[in-house]
Amino acid sequence: MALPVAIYLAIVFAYPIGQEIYLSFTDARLLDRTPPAWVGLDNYRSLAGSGKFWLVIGNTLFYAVVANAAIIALALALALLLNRAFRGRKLARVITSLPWAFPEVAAVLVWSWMYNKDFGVMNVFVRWLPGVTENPSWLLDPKMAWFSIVLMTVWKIFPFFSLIILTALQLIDKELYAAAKIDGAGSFQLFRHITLPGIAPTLGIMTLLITIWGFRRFSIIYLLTGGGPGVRTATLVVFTYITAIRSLNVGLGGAMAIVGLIMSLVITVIYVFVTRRLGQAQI
Amino acid sequence: MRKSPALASQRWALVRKRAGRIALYVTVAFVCVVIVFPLYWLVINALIPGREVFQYPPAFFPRTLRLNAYQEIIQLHPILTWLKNSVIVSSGTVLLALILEIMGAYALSRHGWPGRGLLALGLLSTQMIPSAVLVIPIFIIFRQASLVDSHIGLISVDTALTVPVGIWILKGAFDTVPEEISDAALADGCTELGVLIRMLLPLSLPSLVAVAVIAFFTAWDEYVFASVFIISQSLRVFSVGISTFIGEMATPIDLIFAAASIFVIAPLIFYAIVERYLISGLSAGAVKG
Repeated sequence: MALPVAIYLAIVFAYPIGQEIYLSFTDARLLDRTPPAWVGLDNYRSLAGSGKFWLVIGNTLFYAVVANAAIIALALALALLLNRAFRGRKLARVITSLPWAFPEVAAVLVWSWMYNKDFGVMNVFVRWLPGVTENPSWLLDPKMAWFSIVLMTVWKIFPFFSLIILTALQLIDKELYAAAKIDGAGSFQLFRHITLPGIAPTLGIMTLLITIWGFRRFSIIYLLTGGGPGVRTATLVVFTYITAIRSLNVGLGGAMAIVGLIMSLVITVIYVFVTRRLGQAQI
Repeated sequence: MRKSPALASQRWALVRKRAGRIALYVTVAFVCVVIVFPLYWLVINALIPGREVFQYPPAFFPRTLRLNAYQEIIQLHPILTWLKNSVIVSSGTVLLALILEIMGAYALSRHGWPGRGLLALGLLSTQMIPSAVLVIPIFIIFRQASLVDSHIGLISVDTALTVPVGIWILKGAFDTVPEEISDAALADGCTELGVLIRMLLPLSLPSLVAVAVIAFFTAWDEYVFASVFIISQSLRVFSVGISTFIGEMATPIDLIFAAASIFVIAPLIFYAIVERYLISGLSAGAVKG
């Protein structure tokens, strides 16, 4: 029964990756009639020598660290909030997870309008802050563009992971809390010694997924800033797309794609190694 | 009259508890408002008269609301065709994905065969590959198989994108059904297919709902493949149709928001209906990993 599924996935994933590895050693161009010529490691060499490429790698890591940290922290905070008993909790759970069901392209449409320098509603909010006297260039100034991308990413992504943490929280045995309270544990101790260990495996696998999904996230950045100004907000995926599909340089784009894949693989290997060490292996 | 100290401390505890409650409700309300604001803003901007869209500062609670924008956008652009195509592609993806996910999850969960761990790792590694990398090689295969510019082609790609996660979640659900029970059923002469259909699937209903929802959203949301693979206007799906409005100047912005809100409302309603299954459905997979 696994065979048809494995074959199906191999056609969609393994074959293109093989193709991509091959193309990364050639000078292939999109829409080119002549067969691509073998150029060895030239594409990788030119990447290593390209300042733009290292800027993009830096962007990718920056985006991964900042956005993912914010997503995890907020997802945990929201899950802890919704794990408390109060009236209307179910409604709050539906409302807070709506961004997950909000289609990405439409989300970009409304956020880019909210970020509009002249008419965007974000200007109203930011000018409530003391010291802000003019509308910021939400998407054109590199620093602000990063802020805008991260803010929208967090809004779109964290609710789903909050749901996942919430499900893990609700599976923790309530009697553990009762027993610890009798022993005089404070709320921080309860969190540290019961809640955190209870959701640690979920947090671990979640962090891995957030990271590798973050590396391949495309639409939000590409549609919001197009990677600009210049390539200042381009992550590796966006830069790969620009190089391979817009500039038609499939060979060089292929090399970038392979670098991206290696980054995700390294993260996964580290994850597997750490969880094996901690005895919480999930894979 | 003097209050007794015991009574005072009791009353103080009550006040603190009340304050805690109020703080909790205020926090929850604040979080909800912040999270839901972009949705509110989308709908409001579709409902206010066009010229008020360019009013700064914008009105948070506009006085006049009307539905003209919806009428106009439906006349100007083939919104209903996009909607129909998206429904076709998303439903098709849900069906095909469910079949493949059930097969894959059953194989991973019930049969001890060599290479199981490898397949599991393979599933995870599919999650590392961005669509932008897959799109050209798959386009080339599909061109040879005449699957370009067809809904079936798009459905088969969208399915592949969602299947790895779905298998993972469903496997977790199947794992929670003890092997002894299904073995007993097999010993009583029930076929493997019988065990799957009569036992595992009903017991995993919430997880089936969860993976169906994930498949639906994946297809509804998918943009990269849909923009490259679908060439005919008449086959275009909503996500690509909507994206043509980003950065263009010809269509009035309130009309764009009217179109976008149609695109958004469908999955939101769907989500609100099935949400309660989702929590328990995800938990089986989330815990097992």
